[in-house]
Amino acid sequence: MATPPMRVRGGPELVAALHRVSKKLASGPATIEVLKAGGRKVADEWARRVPIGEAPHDPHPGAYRRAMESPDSVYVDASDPAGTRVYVRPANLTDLDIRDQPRWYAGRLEFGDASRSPEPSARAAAESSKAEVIQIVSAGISRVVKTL
Amino acid sequence: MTLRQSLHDYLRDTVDVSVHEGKLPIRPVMPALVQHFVAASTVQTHSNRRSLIPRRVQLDVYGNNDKDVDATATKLLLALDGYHGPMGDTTIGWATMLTDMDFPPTEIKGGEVRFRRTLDFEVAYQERGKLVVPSSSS
Repeated sequence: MATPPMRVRGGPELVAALHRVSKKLASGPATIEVLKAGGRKVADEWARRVPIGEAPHDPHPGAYRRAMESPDSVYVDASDPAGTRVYVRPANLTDLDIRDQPRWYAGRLEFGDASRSPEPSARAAAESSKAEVIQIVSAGISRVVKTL
Repeated sequence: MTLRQSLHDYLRDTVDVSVHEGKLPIRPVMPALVQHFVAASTVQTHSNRRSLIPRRVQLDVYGNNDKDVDATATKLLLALDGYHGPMGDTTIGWATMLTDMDFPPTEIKGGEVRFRRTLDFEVAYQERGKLVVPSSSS
């Protein structure tokens, strides 16, 4: 017996609707807040682990930690169509000259050099907070999906 | 023997360079490797049975020119990336390269120039005698 022909309707509408949901989920304000919360977890752990110098060797003791504690240390870029990204890095401190910003020396502390042992804080923070960040983001995204 | 010691001895013998802990000595023989332990992931299980511990290890390759550094980095990759099995008194579950970075050459005192590449590996290991196995009565 021949299979009766089937017509599927609404395919293009379904694809368009899924695109709308996907776009809303990828760069909507609620998703951005979830990603920021995940990034904040890494930034806080990083701040806890940064090495603190002492004067006079370090002219601004604690600046690196303040740069990581700043809300600006977590930055979300939703402009890339490939996906929204969250960056965690030392923020600029308004009370310091551009040459004294921790982002200039954070790499040297992290990886060391020929005469100085590394004092890793970024990679150690990422490793130790990984599981918790995944939990924060997956729970947050689940909440966002339910509101769509 | 700890992972630190096992890895040190293995790299010294297979890559055939001097291996240092933390930083280079004042007058190192080049090319040279510097190993540094960055972080270990937390392993928790309900039965308190610890299996392999993944640890991030930073390995710096130093040399007097970029050719030496690249050749040593290649030997290091061949020796460690994909390694599994016994290493000294330590058992390696896996060793995988995570990142590979080139640094600009730096001039040190006396006009000498040092070249450097930094490779990060994840090494999952188990030190013998450290495995906690719950007894059958518990």
